[in-house]
Amino acid sequence: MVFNSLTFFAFLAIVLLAYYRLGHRGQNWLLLVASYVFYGWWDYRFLGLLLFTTFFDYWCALRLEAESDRRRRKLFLAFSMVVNLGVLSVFKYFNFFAESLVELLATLGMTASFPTLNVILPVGISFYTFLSMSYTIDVYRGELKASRSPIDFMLYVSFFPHLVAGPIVRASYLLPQCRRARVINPHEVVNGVWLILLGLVKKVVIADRLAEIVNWGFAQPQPPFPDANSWLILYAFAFQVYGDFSGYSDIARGLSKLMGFELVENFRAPYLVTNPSAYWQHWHISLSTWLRDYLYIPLGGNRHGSWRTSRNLMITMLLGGLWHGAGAAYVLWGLYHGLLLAVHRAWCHLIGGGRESAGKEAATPAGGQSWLHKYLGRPLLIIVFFHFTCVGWLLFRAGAQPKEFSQVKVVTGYLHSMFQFPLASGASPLAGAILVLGGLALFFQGQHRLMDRFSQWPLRWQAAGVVAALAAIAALGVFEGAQFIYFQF
Amino acid sequence: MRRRVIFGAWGMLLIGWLIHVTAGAMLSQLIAARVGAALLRFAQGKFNDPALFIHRRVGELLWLITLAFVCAAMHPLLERLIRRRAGVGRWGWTAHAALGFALLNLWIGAAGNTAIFWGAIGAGAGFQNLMQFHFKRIVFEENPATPRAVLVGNSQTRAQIDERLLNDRLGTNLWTAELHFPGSHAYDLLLIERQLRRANPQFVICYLNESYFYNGTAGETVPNFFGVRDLLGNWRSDAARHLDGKGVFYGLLGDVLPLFRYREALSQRVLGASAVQLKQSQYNTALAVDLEARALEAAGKSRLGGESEFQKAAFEEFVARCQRAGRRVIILDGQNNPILTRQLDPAVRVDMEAFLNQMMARYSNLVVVPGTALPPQAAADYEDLTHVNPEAQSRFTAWLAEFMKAQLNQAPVAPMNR
Repeated sequence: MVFNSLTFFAFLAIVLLAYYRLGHRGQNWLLLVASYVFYGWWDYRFLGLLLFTTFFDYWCALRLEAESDRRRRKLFLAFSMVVNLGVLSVFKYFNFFAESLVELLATLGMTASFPTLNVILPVGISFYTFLSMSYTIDVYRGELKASRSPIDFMLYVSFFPHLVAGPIVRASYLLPQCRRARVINPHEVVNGVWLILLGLVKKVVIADRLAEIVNWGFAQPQPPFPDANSWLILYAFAFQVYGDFSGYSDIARGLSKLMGFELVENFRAPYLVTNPSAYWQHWHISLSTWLRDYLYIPLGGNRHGSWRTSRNLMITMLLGGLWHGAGAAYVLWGLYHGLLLAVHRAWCHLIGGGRESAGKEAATPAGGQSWLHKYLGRPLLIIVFFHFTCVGWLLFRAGAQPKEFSQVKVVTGYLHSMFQFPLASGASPLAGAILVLGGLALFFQGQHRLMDRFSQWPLRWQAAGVVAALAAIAALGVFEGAQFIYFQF
Repeated sequence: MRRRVIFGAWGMLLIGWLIHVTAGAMLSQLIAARVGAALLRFAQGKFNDPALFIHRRVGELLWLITLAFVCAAMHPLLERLIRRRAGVGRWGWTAHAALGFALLNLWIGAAGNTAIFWGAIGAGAGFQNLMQFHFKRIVFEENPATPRAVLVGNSQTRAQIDERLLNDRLGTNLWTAELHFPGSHAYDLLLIERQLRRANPQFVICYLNESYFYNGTAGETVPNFFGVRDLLGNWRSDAARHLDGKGVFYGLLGDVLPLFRYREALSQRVLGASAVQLKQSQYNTALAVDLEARALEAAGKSRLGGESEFQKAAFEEFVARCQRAGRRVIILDGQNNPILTRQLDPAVRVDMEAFLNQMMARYSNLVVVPGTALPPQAAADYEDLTHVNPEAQSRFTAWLAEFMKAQLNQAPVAPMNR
């Protein structure tokens, strides 16, 4: 069941009708059942896996909290990590690692064969595993009390708006919302309806329309193409991923608001930033903060000099890439972003005289604007960094290529044609569509704060916004019920 | 200030109408004298009177502006009424938005009955099936020539018959418009028939082959033409079994929300034909080059059974409706590329011919021209399995022009009470 399907809206109507008539405990039970139905609709066989992960971490957290011995606590945490990551590895990474090892041995002149697993990837496994893991870690750190109620905890993990593609909401944020009676705030319900509409526009108008261009572009035997150039296809993909994933997050947040929940904001204006550090504070925020808090900081963060900081950044981003998919292309994508972060950090260090400034919109040395900011200007920096992001998206998209395409050929072919500047040969007939849809995506990014405050708009603007959204969905939408890109992660 | 602008706009519109009603025809003649030839060239035979065309388009433009003004004026009044009656309070924006969306659809629905809308959608944005269909339908409706004929069916009808050549040959004796819709089956002819009522042609010509009865029901006609009336008035008990549910749903939704029905045409206007038709072009390039392999695949889809009986019943209903409306249906029992014919189950052709003969015996308005009476076509005449090349098209159209001359001498079909 996907958010952009009629089945889902029928399901939602039934759930909401019952939800508003029930008390707090009843609501939790209802949402739990609804969430399992929602997940089982895709493949009921994996409900067992979801149940296992949930109960295992529920039990681990209780034991962790009951245990006073530090060593035993550590042991329980390690046990939890091994089991969670083990499940994830079996379903997501086993074949990748086995095949990679065979290839590595082959390059060393040795032959080996490993059995590969013939299993499909359970939808959203990376999301709910990380969600569940963060809970155990938080309990271990003493930042959170273990949940006594299995129902509340099950609901936290399986809550259907975020179950299959996030945002990865921390237990300390969502679990209390599951525990306490929720108040349905009419303003938030209005905002929720708007966010659902907005998410649908992003998905069926921006992402799914651009997907047609991107799929066509990556189905060509090799770039450059007669009708478009590689940069255009990558722009299209950049906006497609944004529309797809931020659309999903908006719908998830909107649905939660209808039920009195609040999920974290997952996207701000990722393509309107000037550096990689700011990018990761605006793109898939729930994942980047997860990686920061549970990986980067435990690795040492930026506390042990620039070399160790760069190493930690690279490791964090490499694993972040691997989280997205089991493939060399995703690993490279992660490494690429790690490299961008490390280089940017070094650059800030150099021009900022050692002052900590990474993560801000632009490197700002003591007291004023950086010379880069001063001479190139923010718009130019945005454009330049957007192109760096697009090169990263090339690696990411190559990871999704069908088996008959060589990922290396795709990447090298694109990189080759990207730097031949074929725009000079004339405007592509696809440029108009990418300009319109990309412009819409940028508009939503630029106005993301306004979009979140729909209930405060003047009445006429509210009506105009809704009519425009409905008209865009009806007239420009693609109604093939396309899956969200992040479902595969 | 705001009032002045509103009054000014209404005043201008009123003056526009006055000029159009009193001197519109004369002004159109004057404009046509200057640009008529270019317009006819651009229109590629879709109409033959440029002055009338210009006059009608100006009328449509004024009508659409008037309707937009009326909608804009009605919106606050209706919204106030709803708010007062329903007491929507905090949810006032929903009444506003629902009304706005309904009025927008009303306007788009009205615009869909004007050639100026479809012309604006198509100009510079390239070919789109629904746009072509409606543009030609509307222009055909306003053509005063009698008798008139329409060419209906799937792309094979379009490939086989050149309407422009036919109109050149038959001159003022018979004006023909080509209103094909790709992938049409017999049931789809039934849906198209409703679109012909305003134009009321005396002849309906279809180049028909096995694919109309024995090749499934999937296609683009149902989502684009199916409507609430088809569900309420003409729903056949077996339709639910044979028609694609999604297509029917899209058709119904499109009937209520014209914005949704015209989405492909509007998308093409906004995003450009290249972007919107990428999937189709991908499909076209993915088609097997080997015609033998394609013929084998196509023949495998042809089958006798419940679905073909459903299509036959729909065809009979189509003929019956045409008879009631006083239309002669001319069925050209068409051919395929011999490569495909060789692969098709001969029982299918036998069944179809027996059915058509049965229909001809039952309905006096039906003329079936057997395949043996049509000009023969060899494999070299085809561009693919079903579509002939321009030379074969010209030959066939010339033959059809002669055939239609003979038909014009026949007594017209008398309309029956509905």
